Amino acid sequence: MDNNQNHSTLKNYKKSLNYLFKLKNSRIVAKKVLEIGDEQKKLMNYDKAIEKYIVAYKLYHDEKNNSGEAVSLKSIGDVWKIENKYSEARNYYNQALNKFHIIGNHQMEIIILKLISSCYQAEGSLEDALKIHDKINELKLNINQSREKLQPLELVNSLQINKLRNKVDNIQPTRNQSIILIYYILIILFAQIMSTYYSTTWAILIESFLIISLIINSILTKSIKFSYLSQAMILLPLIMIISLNIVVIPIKPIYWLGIAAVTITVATIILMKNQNISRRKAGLITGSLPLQLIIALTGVALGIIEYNIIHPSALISNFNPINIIIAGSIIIISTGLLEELIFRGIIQKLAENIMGNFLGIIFASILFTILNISWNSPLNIIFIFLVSLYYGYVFQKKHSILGIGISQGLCNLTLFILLPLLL
Amino acid sequence: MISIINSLTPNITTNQMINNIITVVFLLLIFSLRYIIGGIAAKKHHTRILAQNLNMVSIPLLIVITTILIYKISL
Repeated sequence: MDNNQNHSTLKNYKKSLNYLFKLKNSRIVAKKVLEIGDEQKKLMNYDKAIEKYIVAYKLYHDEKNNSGEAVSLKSIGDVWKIENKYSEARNYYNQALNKFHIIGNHQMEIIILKLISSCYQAEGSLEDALKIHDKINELKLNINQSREKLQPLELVNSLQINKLRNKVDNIQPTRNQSIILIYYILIILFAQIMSTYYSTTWAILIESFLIISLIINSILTKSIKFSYLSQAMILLPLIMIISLNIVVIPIKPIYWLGIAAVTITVATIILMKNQNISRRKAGLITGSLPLQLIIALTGVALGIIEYNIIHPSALISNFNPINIIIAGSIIIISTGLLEELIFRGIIQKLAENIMGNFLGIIFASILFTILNISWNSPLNIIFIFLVSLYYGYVFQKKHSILGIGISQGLCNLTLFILLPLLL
Repeated sequence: MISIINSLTPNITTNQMINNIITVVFLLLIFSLRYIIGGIAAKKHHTRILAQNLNMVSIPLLIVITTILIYKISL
């Protein structure tokens, strides 16, 4: 159908819509509005198409028509996908998926899952795309169809899974990406050395420059996954600027941690929202609780080892139970869960999309270690790097930050509160 | 193993006051940029990413600077 025909169809739809509004039948009106949206999409008037789909969605919502709502949401997702705005598209597809799940339309669920997978693939998040195809396999078990009808679907899905596995095994950064990432690592290291040994003022200036560089990089790069990683890496200079500023507040250092944690949490939430990173994707899930508990308890041993390396003084002055509960909560939430969310749940995950699983862990561990070099102990730097590799590996296998987050929190509690006060 | 703060000892120097001033200037720069791009083609892909990144930096820094100011005023 050419453009002129589309325009005349659109006019006819609008005329019929005026009559239908008079009839006050929301369901028919919504259907026609959806069709007008489709015509606008064909004419590449994407903003108008989305407007129509939203109107259709609202009409269906008023009618409590889940099926209509699902179709409208899927249509909005389709437009975002055409416009290469994959995180927005995934958001709408997920909402459509829930609606189709409620009405038990498993075939549409499979179609939506395939669309979500294609978005993940376009974003370079192949591991997530693979998980979606596993979900499709699970869903097929719920479809009441004969084995013969399901076989082609299964075959296509397993072919897709094999193709994705091959791609995952061969992920590696381009030469330019490697150079840029090494450059950023060196700048972050330089800034950290400056703040620790020379001048915090120069460190802040370098961090500000780094933030601007990362922002420009995230805009100019053609690779979505590299843009996402650049955006996530903004958190690191931001953490350093915040930490260098809050020290003027005349309060106990333990409360600096609390203030820093609040502000960095805000930045992390904004980042997760911008990139549509779900809690599950970032590892904010419980997983197998007994296993997570065992992982968490390793933090006490790690704290004892690190105490023997750096012998820090206590962050609180006396062994008062209330003080310990307050300080312990701040430490476990801010240094444990928040840091693991940033370094493992976000940075490592995004780095894996660019450089594969092995280099992804190494990259996140190097950044984590750089932010911890202020203790002036080479042995401690090696220790932190090894612990970071351990946390990274556990996260890669178990997809949860609960155990490793509490482990790091317990390590710091033992290191900065319990052992300095007890020994 | 604490990454989110750099130092665990209170040590206020004039240097740190300068750090606050630089951060305020940086924050003002980000706000200006945010204001400029807010008016032009906010629907374009690149400006949208820029706006998102600027929010990610400006909001936490604003919280920190406001907290510091509140402490300074209350002392």
